[in-house]
Amino acid sequence: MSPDEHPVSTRTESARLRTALRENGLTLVFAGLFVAALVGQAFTGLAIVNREQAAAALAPISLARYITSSTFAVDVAENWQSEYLQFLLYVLVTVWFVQRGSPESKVPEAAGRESDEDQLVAEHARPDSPAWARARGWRLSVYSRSLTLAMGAIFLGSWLAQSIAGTTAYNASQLRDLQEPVTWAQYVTQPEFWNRTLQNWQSEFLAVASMVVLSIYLRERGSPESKPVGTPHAATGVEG
Amino acid sequence: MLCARNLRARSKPNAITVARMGRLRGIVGVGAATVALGALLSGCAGPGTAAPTGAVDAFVTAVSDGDGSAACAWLAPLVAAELEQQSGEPCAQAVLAPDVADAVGGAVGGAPVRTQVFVGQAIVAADAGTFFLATDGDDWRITGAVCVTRPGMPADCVLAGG
Repeated sequence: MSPDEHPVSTRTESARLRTALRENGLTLVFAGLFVAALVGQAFTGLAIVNREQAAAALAPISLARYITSSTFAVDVAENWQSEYLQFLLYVLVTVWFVQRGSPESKVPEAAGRESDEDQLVAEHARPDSPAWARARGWRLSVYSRSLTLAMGAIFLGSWLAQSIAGTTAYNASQLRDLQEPVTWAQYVTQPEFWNRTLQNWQSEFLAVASMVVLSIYLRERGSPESKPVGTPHAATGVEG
Repeated sequence: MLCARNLRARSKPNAITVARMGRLRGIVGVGAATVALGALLSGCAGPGTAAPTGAVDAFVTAVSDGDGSAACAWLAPLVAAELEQQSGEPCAQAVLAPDVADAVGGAVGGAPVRTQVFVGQAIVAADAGTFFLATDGDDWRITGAVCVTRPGMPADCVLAGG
């Protein structure tokens, strides 16, 4: 059947789908990468565990058993918490701290919470502003912080999950070494917990600092994370 | 027959921890200990028990009954290999040696006081000795038997392996 023979509704749906894919491509690409990386992490993690089983002359465990284990959970959660902390801090710190010349920063004069007029809230809201931006009181207050509240909640939840799953995984290691297990309260004071945490945090902080500084001088044509190629190094808060 | 299930074939022992045989020699109450824990299982039960306490019970019962083959079937392969290397005898004989049998029998005297499982590893603490176990397929195998735990150090075990 030629394209001309397609019913109008089918062509319309196809066009809608293409539009939806194009308009949500950024989310879809990263969601796909996330799933692919998580699957890879599951298989490689299973291989590590089963290598340990083989070294102990014990039977291998299944993929299903591994991905429902605390060993897998702690490895996932410890990376999640650090990523969400990175973005939480980035969103929050850039309210008050600036970096002259960085597209990731506001201009120094705009440091702070800014005025209602600048933020298009309350009586300065536009007709198409979110409903809670047009409101006053607690709803405006909550909505004005909703991004950090959401990122913060996910960060704290992931960190708590890391500590709980980490306790179990650590105890498995303890028992493998013929040592007594520890409680959650003991685990969160152990070097194991803080080492897992801090080794992730340091890399996230370095990546952010690098991005802030490198984006002053370097460019990626077409990326909103970069200044336009011809923009002077001193230009701040200009995104491509 | 289930209780005569043999250990899997093993190559040379890869010993890391030397079984400290005889450390708990002299612990008394072989019979009383095995009766209590062994009541849950028949003396002939082989691997296939899904709970770590069941594996400990079956191991203790097998030792008490003088069934060395059944007892060794509950040991992790490296533990059995370590025992053979240390004793110079097959596991089924070495596990029934008086110093081992006395220690195993004396380690348990009633229900386990504590059982904890963490991702394929388990600890079963009894009155006078602690057992460490690891999953092996659907079964539990003993990786440390009749142990005294020590803060910050591996437990001191009558039977342990690399």
